Parts: sequence; structure tokens; C-alpha cells
Amino acid sequence: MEAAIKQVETEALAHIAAAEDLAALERARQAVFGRRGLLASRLPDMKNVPPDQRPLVGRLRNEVQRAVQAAFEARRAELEKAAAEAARRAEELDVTLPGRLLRRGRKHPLTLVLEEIVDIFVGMGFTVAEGPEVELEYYNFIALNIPPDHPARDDHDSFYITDHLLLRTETSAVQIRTMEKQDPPVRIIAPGRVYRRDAVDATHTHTFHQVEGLLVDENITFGDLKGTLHSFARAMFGADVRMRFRPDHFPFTEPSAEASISCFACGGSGCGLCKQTGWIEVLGCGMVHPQVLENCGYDSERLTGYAFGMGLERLAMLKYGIPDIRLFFENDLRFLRQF
Amino acid sequence: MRIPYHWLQDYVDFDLSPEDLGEALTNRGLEVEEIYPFSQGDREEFVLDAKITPNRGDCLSLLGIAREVASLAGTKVQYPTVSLQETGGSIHDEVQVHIEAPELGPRYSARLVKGVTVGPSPEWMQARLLAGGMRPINNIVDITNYVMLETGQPLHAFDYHLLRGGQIIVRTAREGEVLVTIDGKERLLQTHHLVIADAEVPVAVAGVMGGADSEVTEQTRDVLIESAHFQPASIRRTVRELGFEVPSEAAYRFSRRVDPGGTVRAADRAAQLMAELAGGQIQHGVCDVYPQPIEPVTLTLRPERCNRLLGLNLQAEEMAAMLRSLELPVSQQDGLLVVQVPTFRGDLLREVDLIEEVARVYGYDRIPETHPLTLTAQGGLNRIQKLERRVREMLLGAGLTEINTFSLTSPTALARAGLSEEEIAGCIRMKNALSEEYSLLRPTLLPSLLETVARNVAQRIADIRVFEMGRIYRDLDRDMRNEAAIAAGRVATGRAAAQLPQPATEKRVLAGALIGTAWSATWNLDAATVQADFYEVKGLLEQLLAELRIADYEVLRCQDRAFHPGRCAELRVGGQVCGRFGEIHRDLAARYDIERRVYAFEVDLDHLFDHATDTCRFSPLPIYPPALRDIAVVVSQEVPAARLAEVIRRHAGEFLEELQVFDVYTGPGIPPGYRSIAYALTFRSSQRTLTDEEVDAAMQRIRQALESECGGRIRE
Repeated sequence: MEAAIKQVETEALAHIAAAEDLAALERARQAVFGRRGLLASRLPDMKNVPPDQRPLVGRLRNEVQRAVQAAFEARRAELEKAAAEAARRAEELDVTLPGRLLRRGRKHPLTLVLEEIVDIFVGMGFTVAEGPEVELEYYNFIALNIPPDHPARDDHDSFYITDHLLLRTETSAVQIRTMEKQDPPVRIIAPGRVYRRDAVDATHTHTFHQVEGLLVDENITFGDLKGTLHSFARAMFGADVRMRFRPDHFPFTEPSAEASISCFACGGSGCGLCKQTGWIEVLGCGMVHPQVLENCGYDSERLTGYAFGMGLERLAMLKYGIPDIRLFFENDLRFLRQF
Repeated sequence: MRIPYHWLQDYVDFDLSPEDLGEALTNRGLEVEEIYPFSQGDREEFVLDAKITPNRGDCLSLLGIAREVASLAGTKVQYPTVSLQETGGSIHDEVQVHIEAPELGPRYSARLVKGVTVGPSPEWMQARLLAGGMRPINNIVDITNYVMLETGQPLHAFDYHLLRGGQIIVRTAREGEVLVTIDGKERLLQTHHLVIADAEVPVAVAGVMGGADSEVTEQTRDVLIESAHFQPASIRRTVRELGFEVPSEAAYRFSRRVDPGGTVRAADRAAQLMAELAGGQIQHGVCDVYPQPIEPVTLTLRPERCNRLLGLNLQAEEMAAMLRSLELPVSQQDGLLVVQVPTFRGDLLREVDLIEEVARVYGYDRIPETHPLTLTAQGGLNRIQKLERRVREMLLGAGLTEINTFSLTSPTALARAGLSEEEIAGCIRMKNALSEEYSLLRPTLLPSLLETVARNVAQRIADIRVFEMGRIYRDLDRDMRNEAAIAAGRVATGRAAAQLPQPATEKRVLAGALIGTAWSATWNLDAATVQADFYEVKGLLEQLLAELRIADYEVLRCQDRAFHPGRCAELRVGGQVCGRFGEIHRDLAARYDIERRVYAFEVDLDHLFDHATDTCRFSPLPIYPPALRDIAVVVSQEVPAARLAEVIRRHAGEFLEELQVFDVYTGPGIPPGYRSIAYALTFRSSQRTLTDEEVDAAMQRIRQALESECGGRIRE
């Protein structure tokens, strides 16, 4: 009797152990615990057990049932864990595949630099003025103190449309149009396209961009010009940047200056970028010529002002280390996507 | 201007190395761009190559440079001593000079040197000329060039016997006169060109180039030295109009103004050297004709004004010393500085020019930096500039990269993009273009956009999504010519504030092109749905309109040569066409070697900005739940979706909040020529929860209307 009970236990445990997954375990559960299962059919019916043996058989029976139940629970836990693990594995992703998103477009590098400049001057209280590119000789030259056949026109070889209409050679023309319309104080920057009759090569194009600035008010000094531009240079190129002003000539400013910043690549000790000079020329500037103020109907005794101008392409080339100006206009996406 | 270092030392004492001298001159505004050794034989020399600004014609000479050096070194210029031995007869017996055009040729001084022997100039002079950038020719010509480099006064040497009648006439050219210049080229002169003529014909283009017929040769015995002053603008115009690629050294100097007071001294200096180096005999006297002498200008400098403009606090005496260091005579009267400007400084015309001289001598770098105290008003972008930034950000977000193309284009480029001859002829054209390639202002952005796409396709870039915000140019105002002349006249008469309109229409436009996808990677995505198509371009424009808060717009089918005939639409805002978009015509794309389908758009931003709404008002969030319904209708392909939407909205009643297409289907189950369009409808009231009955009633009306008005059949 005892051996028969043990035999049932052995068989039941074998059923359970043989179950490889939860479905098989369910089948094993029915085969073992079901109404006609192993335990129900093969364990001795206590009614048929002689009374003297009942305590022993009862104990054995209970032990077997407990052991089989425990084995079943253990197996179920084990298989459930395995199933969960398998399910997890099935969800697993290859995290090394490339990511996917809607790629944002890139701003043109000239826009990046322009916005930086504009934002700095806007922060100082300047507004942004614009004007036409097809311009009258009057605004481009004459009102700026450059009469016909003035030698300064050598530097402004122009595209003419008629005898007196041309593509503007500098955005300074916007200064005049602004002053004609507006009473002082005037505080503008004028960005835009300008044109010079130059053949296209690595450092020249017939089309480029400038940002001009103009401030006219009472008591504006050359020192103010230096201070404003140095503040700009610090915001644009870094807090440590130094600035140098040297005499230059523009017919529409007097005194006129050319401004350089200490080289931001080497800090001024000399490198390839600054051609070993430690300085990089960045803009032209000066005090507005009284004749220009008078041409706009301003009182040149009461009012003084300063003006400055810089080339966007040049600044962008310096800032990003771009060697060839043509890249800005070729629009190769391999170039544009770098910014 | 080439400055030979050791030669300069003949005229001024200074204790600076070539490098230090270069730095010092640059700080004075005479930018030394390069310093290089220029030794010949045992003559060691360094040349400083300086960029002289157009206002400083006086510095196109070693003596002019020496004046600047003397000022910065605190020394004085040692002018060469000119001592003449006039051993011949009177020049007046042999030469007569007449000036017929004193505005263009105010002064003419001549010397006559007889019996010269033409030959090579001495080695030291040749070396100096070479260092100064001039080629030695013969002793006579070399002397004229040497004196020009020294004094800045261009000289010309005529073979006296080749001048008919011993006459020099300074006059304008006569109709049809021609002169062969010493470079061997024939120049057809115009009647406003100034010439030097003998009794019969022109022998030189005044101040520009001498004639071949009267130049000095080895046979020359007697030399007439011309030392004159010519009006700068006239010289520059003549150079330009006679087609000289670069002005001669003489013309370059004359166009930047030569000292009218220095003619006789330069002629004397040349005569002296010809006597010394070519064995000539100087005739007695100078022919110096100067009918209306150019008087020195007197300027007054107010020290207080100078300090106020520069932001300095200098004493009047300090300023006077600075000006005197530049050989400007200064006297003080009632606290003002009165300056007699020497004729060699033609650039000093107003008080402010003297202020610049003070700043230059003082040193720009010593002027303290300050900040304008008046920076109080608010700066910022105007409405258009802000809208531009918004549009740009929106497009970047949609995955388009910004491009910048030239506004100048060619007839060929426009023809390639399909513009008609008439359209091309209407473009604004440069009258002096460098080449056809950049001769017109673009009337549309599409051609340069397609060129950009093509260039990137050629680089095998798969996904090309680009936009440009730029100007197009049209409708040149041909009458502006007169206004420009009037404006110039106003300035001439001192009348200010011309306020002239824009000469042409310059419109702000936005254009873009799409090929491929904005997805950074497309693995496991359905290729057909991620590739750009017509509806993506349309979606982009809808987004743009939403960004500008423009609700009043229409999209209508249209025809445009640039676009696929069945895939082109126009955008109307405020009832006016303001843009086109669609798929670029395959034939057009093929002309750019683009095989893939290109989707593109071009819209008038100025027009959109005019209609943009700047204000944004909050609407309360809904508190009652929505009722959602779907409906699918099978209709003929001929019925546009816009028509269905219009019918649905008209019959939906007041509570339809949103209407969305969620499926468009053709294929099995749908008869040929028909399609099924499925809509999702959202109903909602802001006052209460809608009942099923009222929503169902609305749906019933919609069903009936779709059937009766659109010939639709509702799919259940």
C-alpha cells in the first residue's frame, strides 16, 4: 500500500516536471489533480483502508498531495517566469538601429550671423530699417557725398540700369532714406543685399550682404562710436575681444576709421586666420559727415552721429572658417546642413 | 604707392625700422599692406607698399609721405634744393601757352631744356624708379617719372621740335579728333575731353597719356617739360571713356588731385636734373599760365567743437601743435584756430576735416570708449521683420533648409525655366553687366530654386527640401531718370530732403521645393507615404496661413507652364491670386536633369503679410463633451472634395465643430470613375451636452444632402 502511494507520487511529479510550458502544465494539472486524475483515481480510497492502517495511509496520502501540490506551484512559478521572460524578449528592440524623426531644416549661415548681429543691436535700442536694392544714384552716391567721378567710386564699381539708376553698392543708401523721413534721434541698422561689378571667385561675388548702422542725435562722439562697436564685438566674438581703430576714408563719414578685433582664434598672438598680425579687420565706420546730415535737412551743428558697416559674408567666413565665398550662394545641402 | 625706405630717408629723419614705419603709417591711415626687400646690386632697399585712400592724393609722393613721417617722428621735411642755371635764351621767344578751358585745365607750366643727350639714366636713378614701381626708359622720361614719384606732380616731356608752331594749347578736343597715344592705340576723342594741342592737332590727352608723335626719342635734342594741373573728375571720366583698363600713373594722380601750387617747382626740379644728367641747357624763364589761381582755403577750427565730436578734452594749443606738425599754418584768434590750408591738402575743406587731422595725429586708439547716453528709446524689429522670422521658423520646423540664391540671372536661365520671351524682355536689365550670366534681375524665384535642386540632385542627395525668402524685381520706373537728375540738382543747390520713391517694385516672396522626405531615417516606414507629394506642399502652405492667422483663402486648380497640368493650384487670399504650387512639370524638371518628381511653391509674402492677423484671442475651453460621427460617401471623381465639405457644413447645423477627411479610397467595391471619401465629424455645443437625437438628425440631413446635391451614395 505504501509503495503504491509512493508510486502515485513519483508519477505525478513526473507529469509536472515534464510540462515544458504553461499549456502543458495545465494539461498536467488535469491529469494529476482532475476529477479522474492521478490523485483521485490512484490514491487509495480511505473508505477501503482498514481502520488500523488509516492513520498511516492518511498521513502518507496527505504528504503526497502536499508534495505534488508544492511541486505544481513551483513548476507553475517557474514556467510563468519563463513565459514572462520570453514575452519580454519578444518585445526587445535593437537600440542600435538609427533613430527616426522629422528632420528640422537649417538656417542659412548668413541668416544665423545676421540674426546674431541684429539681436545685439536691437538690444542696444536700434531698429531695423530696409530699403530698395534698385536705387537712385542720388541715394547711393550723391547724397552720401560721392559726386560723379569721385575717385571713391573706384571702389564701388556699379551695375547700372539707366544713367541714374543702379543696384545699390552699399546699404548706406538706407541711411539717407531713413533720415529724410524721420526726425532725429535716428538709431537704425540696415541689413541687405548689395552689388558690385566684380567677377565671381573665392573671395568676391557680384552680390553680397552688408549691415549698416547709423545713430544720429545730439552730442554723439567718436568715443561713443568706439564704445558701441566694442560692446558689439564683445557680444559677437567674446568678452575678451579687444578692438583697434585706425584712420580710413569714406566720403560719408569724417573722421573715418577701420576697426579690427583681436583674433579670436589665437587671441592676438598671430595665426593663419589673422595672417600673423593678431588682428582681423571687421568693419568700416566713422562720424557722419556734416554734408550728409545737411543733405537730409538735418542741422549739422546741433546733431552729430556715427555710422558703421560690415560685410556679412566676411563675418560668417571668419566665424565658421569658410574658405570660399561662393559656398554661400551654391546652396549645396552638404554645406547648409552643417550650420 | 610704393615707398622705398632708404629713398624716403633723403627727405625726412626718423628712427624707425621698415616694420615700425609701416605700423606707424598704418596708424595714420596710410595702410601699409606689404613690406618687401628690393635690393639691386649692392643697393639695399626695402619697399613699403601702402594703400592710399582716394582723399589723400598728396600722399602719392615721397614728399607727401615724408610730411606724415615728419609729423609722427617730430621732425621736419627736408625738401630738395632746386637751383637752376638758366643759361639759354628766354623760353617766351620759343614757346607760347594758351589755356582755352580753364575749368578743366586751370594751370599749365612749361620749361624748355635744349641740347640734351638722350640715353640711359644713371644706375641709382634706375634703381629708385624700379623700387618705386616704374620701368626705366631713357634719362629724359626717367627724370619726369622720378620727379613725379618725389613730388607727386606728373610731368610730360615733349620733343620740342615735334610741336608745331612752338605752341601749347590747352583745349577740349574737336569733333572727330583722333590721337595715337604712346601705347600705340588710337583714341577717338570726344568734345568734352581735355587735350594738349600744338598749333594744329592734339599731342596729348591732358593728364592721361601723351601722343606717340611728339614723344621723346633718341633723336630728341630739345625738350619741353609740361607740369600742369587738371581737374580731377575730368581726368577720371576721360580715362573711363577712352577705355583705359587702368589709369596711367599720371592719370591716377591727377584724378586724386595734384597740388595746383606745385607745378613750377616740379618743372624746375626736372629741368635741373636734365641739366645735370642729360647735359641740357635750361632756357630762361617758365611759361606759367594760371588764369584763375586756386586760392588756399582758410578754415576755422573750434577747439570745443573738436573735443565734443571726438569725446576728448584737449587744449587749443595741443590741437594747434598737431596741425602744425602736418605743415598746416595755424593762428589763434579769440580761442579759435584759423588754418591757412596749403594747396597740397585739397582734402581739407571743412572744419570737420581738421578735426579728423587732430584725431589722426592724436591717435584713434587713445580716444576713450564711451557709450551714447541717449540709448533710451526702444529698439526692435518691425511687424514685417517679425513675421519674416515667424515664417522662417515655421519652414525650418517643417524640415526645409534655407537657401540664398543670386538675384542676378540670365535670359538663358529664365528661358530654361519656361519664361516667355516677352516675360524675359520685361525684366530689369543691367546696362553694363559683366556677362550675360548675371545681366537681369529675377522676376521669380523658381528658376534659381530649380537650379539649386538640380545641383543637389547631381550630388546624389536624396532628400531635398529647401526654401528661399527673397526679393523679386519688376516694373522699373523709367521716368525716375528725371527725378534723379532733379535730386542731384537739389543737392547742388543745397536743397535737402529729396524723398524720392523706389525706382522699381521689389516684392518679398517665398519659394520652396520638395523631393523625398523630411524623415531622418525611413526604415520600416511606408515609402509612398513619407515621400513629398502635392498634399504635403499644400499642407505646408496651410500651415503657413495658419501661422499668419489668415483664414480667408481659397485653393483652386489652375494651369501654369511650370507645373504638371493636373497637379497645380493657385492660392487666393483676400480674393487675389498670391501664389502657385504643385508638381513641377516633368518636361521642365527634365531640362534640369531631375528625374524625380519635384513639388514646389512660390507665394507673395508681402501680400500674405498684408492679410496676416497679428492679434491672438483666447477662446474658452469646451466644458461639454463632443459627439463623434463618421460618414463615408461614394461620389463621382468629378465632384471636388471642397464641394462635399461645403455641403456637409451647410447642412450640419450650428454644432459641427470639426470636419476631417480620414480616408479616400478607390478600388474593389467602388465603381470606376467613383471614389469613397470618409469624414470624421465632431459636434459640440458650448451650452449643453448634445443629445443623440439631435446629432443623428444632423447626420440624416447630411446624408440626404450628399445624395441629392452631390449624387453621392452613403456607405454603411
